[in-house]
Amino acid sequence: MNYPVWDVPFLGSGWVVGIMAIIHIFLSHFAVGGGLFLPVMEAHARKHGDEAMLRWLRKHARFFLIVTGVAGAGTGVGIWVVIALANPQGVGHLIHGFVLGWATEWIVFIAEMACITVYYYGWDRLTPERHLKVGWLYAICSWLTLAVINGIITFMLTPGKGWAESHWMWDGFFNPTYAPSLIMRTLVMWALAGVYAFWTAATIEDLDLKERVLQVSARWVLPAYVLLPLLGGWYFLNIPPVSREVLQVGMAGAAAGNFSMATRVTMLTVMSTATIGVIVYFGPFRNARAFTRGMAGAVAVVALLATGASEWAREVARKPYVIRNVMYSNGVRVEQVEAFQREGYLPNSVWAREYAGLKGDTALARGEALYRGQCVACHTWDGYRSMQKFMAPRNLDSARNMVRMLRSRDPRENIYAKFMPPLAATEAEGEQLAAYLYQRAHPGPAAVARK
Amino acid sequence: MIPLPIPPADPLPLPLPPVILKALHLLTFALHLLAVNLGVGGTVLSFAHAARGREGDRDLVRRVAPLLPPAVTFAVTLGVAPLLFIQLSYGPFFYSATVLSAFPWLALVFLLIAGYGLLYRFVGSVASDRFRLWSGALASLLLLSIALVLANMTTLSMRPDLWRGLAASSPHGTRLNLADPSLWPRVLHLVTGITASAGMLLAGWGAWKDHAGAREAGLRWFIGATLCQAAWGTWLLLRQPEAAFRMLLSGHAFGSLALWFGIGCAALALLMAIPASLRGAARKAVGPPFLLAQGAVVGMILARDQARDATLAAVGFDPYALPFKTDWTSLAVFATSLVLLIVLLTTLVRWVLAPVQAGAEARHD
Ligand code: HEC
Repeated sequence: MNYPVWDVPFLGSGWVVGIMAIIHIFLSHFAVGGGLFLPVMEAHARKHGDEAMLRWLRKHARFFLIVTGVAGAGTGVGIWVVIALANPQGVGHLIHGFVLGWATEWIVFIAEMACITVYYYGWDRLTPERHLKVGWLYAICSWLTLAVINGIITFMLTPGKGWAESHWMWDGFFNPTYAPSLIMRTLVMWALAGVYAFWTAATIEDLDLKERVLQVSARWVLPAYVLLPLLGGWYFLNIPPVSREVLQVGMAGAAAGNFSMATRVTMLTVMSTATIGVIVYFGPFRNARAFTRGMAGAVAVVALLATGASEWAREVARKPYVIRNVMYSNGVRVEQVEAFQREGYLPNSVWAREYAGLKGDTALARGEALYRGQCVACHTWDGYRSMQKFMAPRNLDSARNMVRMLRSRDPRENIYAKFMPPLAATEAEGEQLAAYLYQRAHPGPAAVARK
Repeated sequence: MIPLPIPPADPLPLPLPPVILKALHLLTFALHLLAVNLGVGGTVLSFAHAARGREGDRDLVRRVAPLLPPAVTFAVTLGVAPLLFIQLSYGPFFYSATVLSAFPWLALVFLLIAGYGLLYRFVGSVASDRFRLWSGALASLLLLSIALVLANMTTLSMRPDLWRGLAASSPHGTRLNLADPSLWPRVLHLVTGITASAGMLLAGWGAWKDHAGAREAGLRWFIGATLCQAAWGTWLLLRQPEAAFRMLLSGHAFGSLALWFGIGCAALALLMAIPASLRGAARKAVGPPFLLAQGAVVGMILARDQARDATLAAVGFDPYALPFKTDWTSLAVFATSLVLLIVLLTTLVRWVLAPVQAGAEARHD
């Protein structure tokens, strides 16, 4: 822990990132999908001289501009803010490895913003041909933002073979999940474009127009509907076997009788997709005239659920790493573990020493510093993945055994190795950690007296 | 003495020489600031004129307000780049400061989204008879309060000696770093600077579109804010960390020259703006102070950067000493996309500025 650690009570920093990310993805995927939606619909309307549809499209473009420009871009900055708070080492490493990738993403992002601004505000100023061209340019730019960022996101799960040695951006960029992920996300984006169009189309008063718009929009959902299962399989085959296993059996040893992680996520995704399918077919497609905002909202909520479930699965698959085989979720780099276990974590970690020092540098204070440095990235004390809950049933010996086991990097000895990083600390530090965890979970009279 | 808790930099080399990264950092920051001056400063000015509500004011607001949302979009977009560069070159300081003051830093996102959303509401209302003044007021307030968040991060990142105390008093990162004496003058300096620049941009717009009311109002804003700035600016200077203060007053360091250049430009701009505003703000009287005001901003950006480096040098950090290994392929990709961007932007601007189609103006809503 070279950096201070952001300790978010109850929720944990991981969930702060998760919430921000899911909202952002929901909005930004709309931006990309809608990017194509706008010019395609405009071309369609212009070809058929459909003035009514053009007027609606203009309103939709305004909605689009506000949703993506305000909330989409705002949460985009939000992602930057929260990931750097939750994992400064990880973000610092990614930025160092991919600066020029981010910089290129930024260029494309500016182009995207310029296009949508001109597209909306230039509705009357530009000739129809030029206006449509700007729409196509927007579609291209917004898709490119995905194509660039996708290299970095997929790198974190599947860094590919060469990067660890070369540290050359392109060795990491085009990694095994790049292509399946790109195609999958593109389809999801088109689907979301349709879903958002339902929202603005639901209140169209001219019923003929409403029907035209809704039926066309429903078609945008279709490709994702048909192809996603196939692509999902392709993606799944390309993630590391360990992640596959974790997804399949679930984390805490697949408690007998419970649904496994993968089953749950798959069920959630399948159910939500099926629901979307049914609503879309019987709503916008068959009964467009009777379609309401409420139904549109329902589709959007279900789509958000599906987005959330699949992003969450990706996160689970990446545990215990931020960058697979390079850096663990708690900021310890894989290559550092050995030295830390030999020389100690505190001597090697500026802020672990600092936190211990703030509490008098006692054995317990050092244990707490270790907890903060290596565990808080994934656990909270009494909320999400509560350490209190895990520790309450254990006595001191059992706490010690657990921590001892965590030091091992051999999955046969350490049953947690698949989802928790090895404890990068000396044996003595491990004892301090165990003592701290035990004492805090069992605040007996001794602990009260200490206060 | 216990050493200051400054984390080591990331072990990966930078992909470009630090000097180049610094240049890009400052360039993108300058562009970001320009958009902020336009978008945020413009929001404040528009709200103020809308609130005064005379016929001339309302006309001005109607014409200027539609420019604001896109300006804020660009302020956000352009701001991402300096945020990236600062993490790259000053990671140990940036990350420590943001984590130690995490919740205020996170508030930035919500202030931005709420302020920007309300701005749309305000702007959407100016075409009608009833301006949504509350939305305008809140939008101005929320967007301006981002200055506090940023000033908090900037000052905290330069003061590793204060980190320990903040970590002890605020273990979850809920507090602002009020212990820094330069925080409030910095916020005032920022807010006033944004207002002054927005005034000058308004005057410039008035010269371009030949709108006398805009020229006059803009110059007045610039004059008023810049006069205040003389007070806050001095205050801020006096509250600089020791090393920065000495450097800024040295009279020969680059940062010192930049500061005096900036002050000189601002003073000269003021001297020209005052008579111009009194004599009906003629169109050609706006150009020279306009350019000088931009010069002042550039000077301040450079002085600010040098003050930071001087402060960090005092704790043993040198951004130019970071290891690098130039990555030519990525650089080529980046450069190509930059060229394409410039082509795209010029094309778009050309299209936007092309004469409007006959009859199209009437359809404006
Ligand atoms: C990469 C994230 C991650 C980190 C870092 C992490 N854990 Fe865990 N831990 C998990 C997950 C995931 C589980 C399983 C949670 C569940 O079953 O709901 C878990 C479960 C546990 C359990 C319960 C195991 C059981 O079967 O009873 C304990 C105890 C525990 N962790 C202790 C720690 C300690 C101590 C540290 C710090 C040295 C730590 N963890 C760091 C992810 C992590």
